[in-house]
Amino acid sequence: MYADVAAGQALYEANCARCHQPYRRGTGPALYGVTERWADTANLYAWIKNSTAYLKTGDLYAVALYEEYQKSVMPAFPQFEDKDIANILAYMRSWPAEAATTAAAPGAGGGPAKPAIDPSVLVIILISLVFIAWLLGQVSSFLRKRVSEKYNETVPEPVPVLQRPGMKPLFGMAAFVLVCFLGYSTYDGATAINRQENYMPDQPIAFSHEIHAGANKIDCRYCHTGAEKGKSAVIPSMNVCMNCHYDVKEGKQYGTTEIAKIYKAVGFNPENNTYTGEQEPVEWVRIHNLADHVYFNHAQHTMVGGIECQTCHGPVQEMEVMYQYQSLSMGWCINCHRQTEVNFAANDFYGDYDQLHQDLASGKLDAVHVSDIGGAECQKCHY
Amino acid sequence: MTRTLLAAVTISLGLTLLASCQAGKNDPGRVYAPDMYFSQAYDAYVPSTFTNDGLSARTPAANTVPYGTTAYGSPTLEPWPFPLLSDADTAQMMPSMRNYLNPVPVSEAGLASGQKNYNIYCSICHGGNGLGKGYLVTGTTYSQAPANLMDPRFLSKGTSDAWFYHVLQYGKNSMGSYAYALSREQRWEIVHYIRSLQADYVAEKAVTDAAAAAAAAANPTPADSTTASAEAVVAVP
Repeated sequence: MYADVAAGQALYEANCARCHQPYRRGTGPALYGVTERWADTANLYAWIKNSTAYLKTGDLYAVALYEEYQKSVMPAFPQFEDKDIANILAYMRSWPAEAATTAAAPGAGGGPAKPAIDPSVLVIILISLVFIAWLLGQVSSFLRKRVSEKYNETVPEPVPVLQRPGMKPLFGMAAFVLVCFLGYSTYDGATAINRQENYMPDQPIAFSHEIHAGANKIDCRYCHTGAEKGKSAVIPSMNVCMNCHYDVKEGKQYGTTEIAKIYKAVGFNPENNTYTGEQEPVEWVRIHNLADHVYFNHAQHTMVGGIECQTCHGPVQEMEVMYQYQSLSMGWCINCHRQTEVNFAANDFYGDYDQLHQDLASGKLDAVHVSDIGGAECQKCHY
Repeated sequence: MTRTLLAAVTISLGLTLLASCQAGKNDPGRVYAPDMYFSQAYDAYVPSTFTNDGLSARTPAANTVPYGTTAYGSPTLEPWPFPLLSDADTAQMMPSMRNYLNPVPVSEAGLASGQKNYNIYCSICHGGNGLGKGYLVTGTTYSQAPANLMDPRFLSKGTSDAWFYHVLQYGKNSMGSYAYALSREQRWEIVHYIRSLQADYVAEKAVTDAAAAAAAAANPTPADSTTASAEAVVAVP
């Protein structure tokens, strides 16, 4: 009897791959080496054709499987002939054994991260060096003084620093530079109050937008479901992670360490794909903070205004670590409201603005900007 | 003169050092008038010292009616009558599910909304055409094969509308529940859109099948199916 691997592969992909994988547990068991696990191949054939019927025979191995996989039923395949099953099993035997080990090997290029030097350590080193220099200077001058005393040399009266030649203009210049610097940093610090541009905090889970939104092309709204529905764009709850990470148990970048944090939070045992019920919240660090006295609504901007996520959040799909891209200052808001043209004609939401529609029709206005429909009014956002 | 030079170098070095002082990446910076900046009421996701579990977000009380829906009257918005059961019990539920018709009437706007939401939530795995070849499967290394929604068993009579809704509500196999993202109405709209995809697929397949049959009739050389996969033949013990 000969088996057709290609036909087996086609059947496998159409019927089995939804629940089974070669080397890892899916909804059903990993199928590499399945023929060897069954004592009698005839039983395996019967099991594949109709697992519910076969369970009734009381085969201990089959019952154990059924229990282990939370009593999920493998659908019956009455359309399979013995030849088809032989083809599928032959396809499974064609899987290389070593793929199981190479997949488990640590990924290339993922060497240990270089320890970054903390700038505060450098400052401490510098200060101690200056202190040592001063100390050595003191010792040297003390010794010179003792030597002069010993040989009865006349010690010249020390000249005050400011009276030494060339020192006055130098100190003047230094004072000027210092005043400029202090003035600038005061201004800079004052304008930075309530601003967090480039704020890039460490998050409890090293989630990469670059991988998920960039490389995997998952729509922003897949996770941030509130962006078109309400005020908050929504930080996804961990069940959203589990939509994919139920199966994806190892990442390319951090291996299993970061994904294990999801499992811990959501109470999931990746060994047997069961939920333990022990959950704990993930304390994400909020990046985009608006003052409480500012009202902002995502739905208004995305659904009505048709603004892209990236307009305010920047190229998130390229961010390995998420950071705040725009200043989110009031000037930035108002500027955008003055410059952004409203899609006035094609959006029923703006149907009530009769005067503006007339002005557009008569050519009195070229375009309607957000500020024309109240986007620069104080109470639009502050109330 | 060297002394002047030395002093100038020291001062500029010191200034550079001072200027390089900046907030670390974990520092959110300072806030003016914090009592106006931070909400007294709970903001989204803020922890609570008041509740037992430390979360300010609460699970709605039992029998809460979601915003935009009514508890009684509109069948669209009726809570889903079919519970999540084991596979065997679900099979017994299938006939009554078959009698549960899609309560949302088909409309242009509904199909457009179904298409939009399908493309956000479903197409990444099931593919834009429903053939089960989404980008996560073809473009990256996601290993579990999503269902091919054009499979004969999903086509119109094979699987009921209610079953699609049931899976969107509870998930199936590796697929999770999508109730977190889609309202009841949006889920029914997606079911309509899947049906429209299937109708397109069936119509297209009928055309290509007819063309193939016509070509076969015009050019009657019997295809030798045994040679097609001869290179992949191996012996079975």
